[in-house]
Amino acid sequence: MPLLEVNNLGIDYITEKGTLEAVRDVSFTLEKGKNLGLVGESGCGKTTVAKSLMKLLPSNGVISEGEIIFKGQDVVEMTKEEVRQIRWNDISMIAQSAMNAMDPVYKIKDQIIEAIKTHQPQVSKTEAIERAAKLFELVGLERKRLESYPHQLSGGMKQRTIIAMALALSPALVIADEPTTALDVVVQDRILHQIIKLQQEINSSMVFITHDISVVAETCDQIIVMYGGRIAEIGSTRDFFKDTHHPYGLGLQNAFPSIKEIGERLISIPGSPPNLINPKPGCRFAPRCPFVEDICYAEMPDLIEIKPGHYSACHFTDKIDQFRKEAKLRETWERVKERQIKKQLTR
Amino acid sequence: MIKMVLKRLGQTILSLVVVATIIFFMFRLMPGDPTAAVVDPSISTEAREAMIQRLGLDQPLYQQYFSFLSDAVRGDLGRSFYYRRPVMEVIGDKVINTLMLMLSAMLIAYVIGILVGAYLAWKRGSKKEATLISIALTFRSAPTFWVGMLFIMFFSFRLGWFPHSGMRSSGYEAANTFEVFFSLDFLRHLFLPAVVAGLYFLATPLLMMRNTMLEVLGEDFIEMCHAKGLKEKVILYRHAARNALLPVVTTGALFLGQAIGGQVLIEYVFGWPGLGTEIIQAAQRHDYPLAQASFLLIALMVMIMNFLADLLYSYLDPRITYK
Ligand SMILES: Nc1ncnc2c1ncn2[C@@H]1O[C@H](COP(=O)(O)OP(=O)(O)O)[C@@H](O)[C@H]1O
Ligand SMILES: [Mg+2]
Repeated sequence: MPLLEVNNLGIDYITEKGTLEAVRDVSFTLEKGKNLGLVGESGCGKTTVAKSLMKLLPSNGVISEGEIIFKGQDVVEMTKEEVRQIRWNDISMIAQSAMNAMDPVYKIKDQIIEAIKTHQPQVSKTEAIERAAKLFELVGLERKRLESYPHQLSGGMKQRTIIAMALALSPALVIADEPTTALDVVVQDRILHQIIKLQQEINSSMVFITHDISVVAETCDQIIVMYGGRIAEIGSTRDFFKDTHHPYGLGLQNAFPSIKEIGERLISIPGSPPNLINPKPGCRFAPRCPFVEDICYAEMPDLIEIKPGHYSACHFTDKIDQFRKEAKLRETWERVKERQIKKQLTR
Repeated sequence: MIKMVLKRLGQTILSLVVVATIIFFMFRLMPGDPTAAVVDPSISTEAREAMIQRLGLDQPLYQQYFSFLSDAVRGDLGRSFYYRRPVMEVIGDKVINTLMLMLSAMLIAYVIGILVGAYLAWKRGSKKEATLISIALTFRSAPTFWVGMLFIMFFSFRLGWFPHSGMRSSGYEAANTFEVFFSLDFLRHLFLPAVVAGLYFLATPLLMMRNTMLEVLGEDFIEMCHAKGLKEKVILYRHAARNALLPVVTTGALFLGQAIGGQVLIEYVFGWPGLGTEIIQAAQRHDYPLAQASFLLIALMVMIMNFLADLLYSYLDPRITYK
């Protein structure tokens, strides 16, 4: 039995302008001890998927369809109290906004103890402090920092504290939502490796969210590329990087080249992710795709199996060799920009 | 910390001098002849002049001002023109009485306001919220004397639970100083006026608490509390309310200043021997020393309260440190 199995997940946000279709038809499985990378530009629904796993969506967010089977139980169907009990104990989160993730009026120590004692009331206070100190050692923080208030820590220290806190109960699943984006580039890498090392130590699975696709290559077993709330491509990390099949995935690799290609100039994908309130029919990526054809505007492509476990949602998976060659060229993406400008002018 | 206390003390003294100056000149710029109030107009001109001389009213304004200041520093706030007794004798007790009443009212308003305000934020958009806010606003908008009379009618005359007026039963003698303010008799007299004034004040802390709570509930650390699997009550009171409290405390201190001036109508309706009525009469009678002293005492108390609020604030919010 996989640790986590998500089937046909659909999530809406109710907004003043109408229903925003934040996530549609997302399905994946995650085995125990494995890491899943969730990538895509900002606004593609990554955080929304992550939060739904522990039912932490904001009040206007609703899971409209699908199931989230965690350890054999459907999280979607759970009562508030049942969800509360699996939070942090079984699924913890290193949030995107860890900078403000701690209550400013309590000491760090008390906030870690609180997390431990909420789920393990039998643990004594001194025991909890000992455990917090040990975690601090693991993330490279001095023990005396436990006595600090959040405002007395630097960004990197705060992030380490959150990491320590997230691992305090050895949860089966850790969700890391862009855990380093708010940090200095210098410490980003170090903290990233710390997360991976610790998470492997306690043998938990991880959902790792990032918009930097190159990070996933080093850290994850599986990757999902999301675009406009849908899966564009899903597969093992090895298959994906060796054999990318979706034009969006190709574009992302240009924008975040892996280490060996550094020095080449970055090519970004012109335009931005679509508005998901009453989205247009057809492929969500069509308006930004260099290889677009008429059918792309008319029909939503299904996920097509390329090989077992590797799927891509593109009408033209058979033309991938040509796509791959052209996607490396700047002119290809310039064409998209020209097309977008032309369209704006005619409107 | 000590440095901060000293600094604040200096600021307080400076502010007091400024306030004293403003008060002194304010009363002298008011239209009307004060001597008329003090000196019987029917007496002879010589006697009148002698009187004015004795009171020092013939001296130039700046001399009056400096003798006022130097006396004040020595704790002598002069003699009331009207009562012909030292000012402190006239208002000393009354200041305390007003303070007792207003502190009780504030306590009622802030304890209820903070707890209910926090709860309202949690129940945002519910019928309960609308009802409770309407009630608070009704008490804020209704004339206090009217609410006061209704309460007297119902709780003293109909039910006979509380005395309708005054601060003590006649003939009551306190056994010791402690019992002057902490006897059952006093508390029973205090109850109705404190509740009526408290209900009047209630809307401020209640709405303020509710609004800051709503803000706090949207912050990242609250989401983190949910992610940690904390119970709702814990999140609501230990985290959200605790943070929302900070601005409410600050305004509370400022608000107290306003309250100490006295709710004249409440003191009047409940026959509470407080400062409110005294101040108004003193101003009308051109009783400079009395009015000056009252305002100065109020200013002093407001400053002390603000100082205490600052200390409380630095205790409540670890991000604030005084250096
Ligand atoms: N609370 C919310 N209310 C309305 N829309 C939201 C809310 N949160 C996110 N969205 C929208 O849902 C989409 C997905 O957002 P998100 O999951 O945060 O994306 P990502 O994490 O990939 O940047 C975006 O279009 C975003 O504007
Ligand atoms: Mg996000």
